[in-house]
Amino acid sequence: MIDLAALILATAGFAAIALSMHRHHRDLFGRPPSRPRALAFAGTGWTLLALSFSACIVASGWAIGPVLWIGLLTVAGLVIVLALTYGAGIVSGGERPAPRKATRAARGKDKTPITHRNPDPWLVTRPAARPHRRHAAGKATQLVSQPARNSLPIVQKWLVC
Amino acid sequence: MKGAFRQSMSWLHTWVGLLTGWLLFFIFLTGTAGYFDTEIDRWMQPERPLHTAELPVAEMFAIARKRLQDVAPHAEYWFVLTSNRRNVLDMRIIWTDSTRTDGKQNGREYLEISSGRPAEYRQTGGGQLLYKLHYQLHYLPDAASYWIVFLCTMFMAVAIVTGVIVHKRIFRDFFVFRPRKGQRSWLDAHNLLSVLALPFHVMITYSGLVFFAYAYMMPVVIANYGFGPGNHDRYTNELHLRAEQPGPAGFAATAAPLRPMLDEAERRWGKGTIGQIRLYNRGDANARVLLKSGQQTPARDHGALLFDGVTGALLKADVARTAPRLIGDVLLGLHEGLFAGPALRWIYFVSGLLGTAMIGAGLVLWTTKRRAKSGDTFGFRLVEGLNIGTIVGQPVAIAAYFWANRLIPVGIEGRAAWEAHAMFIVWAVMLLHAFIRPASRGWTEQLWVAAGAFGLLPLLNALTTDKHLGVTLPAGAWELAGFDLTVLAFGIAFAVVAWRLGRRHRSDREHDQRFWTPAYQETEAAE
Amino acid sequence: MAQGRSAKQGLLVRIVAAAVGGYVVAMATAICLSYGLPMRRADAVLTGVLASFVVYIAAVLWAFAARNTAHAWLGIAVPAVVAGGMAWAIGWFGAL
Repeated sequence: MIDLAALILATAGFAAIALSMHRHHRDLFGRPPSRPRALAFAGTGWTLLALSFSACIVASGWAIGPVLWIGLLTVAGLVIVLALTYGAGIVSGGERPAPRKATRAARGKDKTPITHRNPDPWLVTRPAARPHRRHAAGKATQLVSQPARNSLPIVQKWLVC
Repeated sequence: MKGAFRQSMSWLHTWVGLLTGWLLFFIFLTGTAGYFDTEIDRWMQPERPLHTAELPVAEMFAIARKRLQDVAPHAEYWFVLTSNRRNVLDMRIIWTDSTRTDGKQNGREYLEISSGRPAEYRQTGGGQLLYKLHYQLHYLPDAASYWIVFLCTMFMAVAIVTGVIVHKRIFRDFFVFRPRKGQRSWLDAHNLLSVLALPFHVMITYSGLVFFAYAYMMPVVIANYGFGPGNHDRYTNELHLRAEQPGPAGFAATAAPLRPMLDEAERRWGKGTIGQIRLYNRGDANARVLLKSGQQTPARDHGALLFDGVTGALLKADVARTAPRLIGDVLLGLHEGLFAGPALRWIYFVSGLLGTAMIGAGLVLWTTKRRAKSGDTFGFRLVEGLNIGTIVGQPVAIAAYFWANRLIPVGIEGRAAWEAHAMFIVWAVMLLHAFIRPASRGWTEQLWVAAGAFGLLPLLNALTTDKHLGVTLPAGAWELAGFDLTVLAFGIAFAVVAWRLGRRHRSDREHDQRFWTPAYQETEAAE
Repeated sequence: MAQGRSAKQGLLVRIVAAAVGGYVVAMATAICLSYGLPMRRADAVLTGVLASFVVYIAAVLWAFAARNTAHAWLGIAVPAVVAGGMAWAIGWFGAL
């Protein structure tokens, strides 16, 4: 039970510390924190972390307690990162990742086929340009070696989580 | 000046990561599995009873003694390992009997508590094999493996230090993750996975180096203890304050009763904490009894009591360790994590997974950075194929190890070796697949295989044994149920990633089909 | 990194400095500590070895961060000689 309390304290502490930071406060509240507010958040956060440390010592003693605390910090950190990344959009109208439609429209402007913007190495039917050939070859090869400016090379997007 | 330093450290970070990344992924993956080695042992031997019996130490010793008197009544050395803790599944007995002439002077057995006879579960490497892979590798002589893994560990240490140096915004970006932005997201992920568990990564790597210090530290040992043979032994004996045990005196004497010695040990350490009972020079006037504590702390186990075997007097109690020895022991103890209770053990496991994912994210990041410029070079294709075959292929191989455990018939000669062969054969197949298939298809196909390999394991378990979720959940056998639930969770996670990747892949192909018409092709070529 | 044979040679020099030179300076430091630390011999040896890993890693970083190959070698050889010299001196004086 005390373990759980320590975890909750650590999570709350990290949440407060995150909110003392410019970027995360802006995501949640729409504007960066004023200096006193940032200090208040930071102070609260560190205090909660210290309380979490004490809870760990109470739970498991001085030998195992510090180890437990550091481990809980990892878990708490993970929770806060996920909450800030995926939760900020839910809670308020803060910065959201670009909606899928906008990306499609952006891609629509660039009519270069995806496979030729970034040739899939194993599907290549015409030789892809190498950088040192860029000046010698014509424009067609240039399209192949340089990705479109508006959007990311799509093959990279395949690997995005 | 600062820029050149960061640049050179970034170069170094990339190169040490690239040279050893795939092997380090293997080391981290198998090591992480090793934190649940005993639970995996239990699952891989479904003949075991659902719950382990817990007995007082004196009763356990009585069972062991009965068996030892059957098999080795004249042995001068008896060793009993009690099983009243998470890290030991079976009682173990070892004996040395120099009077035997049939070549079987040494013997060892694992005993079942309920019957007092040798355990007869299916032959398997179990979770112990998985965990040992992370420093012994496989198919290589030990010495070679140790040097390879030591080298990888040094590279990992350099990677961690250079990584921290290169990560400029380590505090500002502590919580930052920007998904769906390609290379930016992979860098964010790699940074996060490293920083969130940074104490763990530093500890694991540095303590890993300490484990390998034996051969590495030869010059220092020679400088202090000379060149002759046994110089290292003299060092370790001095370090551990070991005194020489006397040999047999040659004339018989009745042994003192053991019970008071056990009581004294439990009085000092607590009930049920005796881990080992060793009887030296049995029946002789120089008989000795050594009791060792089975309790684990981050400073590894401690506590040993040496009794005179004839008079029962306490000869030597634990000597307090010196600071350097304590530090060394703490490093090794933290690495092994044997002291961890259930919650902390899960934290160790999650931290290990984060470390494994950190290495994987780094390898993928390398490819996203260079795809545009050199996506068609041999080097790039090699890296990408190795990435797919390792980051998804290795987990699939480990799942195959579990499948083999259920599918290879019990009683077949060498089945334990074949379980391991199955793992490496499947890994080879996944690597081959990764090089044959185009990258994007390779990722999704292997991810679906991983989803099935893990997600269907509980079903395979139910079809082949009686220790499946339907039995283990109601009975509260959490180690067994936990295994099934964990692999199920992995299967679902792989499936989610495979589905989302496949969906994005499909939408991109549709985009291609819409725009890439022959007429368009001509206009492009004409420009 | 710069192309060309001299750059590749420079890289090789740095790698050797890091791998071999790093080990030498790490061991020299460890031996020096094992002789000089005011504790039991075995404890001093252990402390020296634990510290030597940090020295090794620092040497590797130096070998690649140094301005040129000469600096790379100097930055590793000089501490090695100093530590070795100190170790030898302590050993020599201790034997007196």
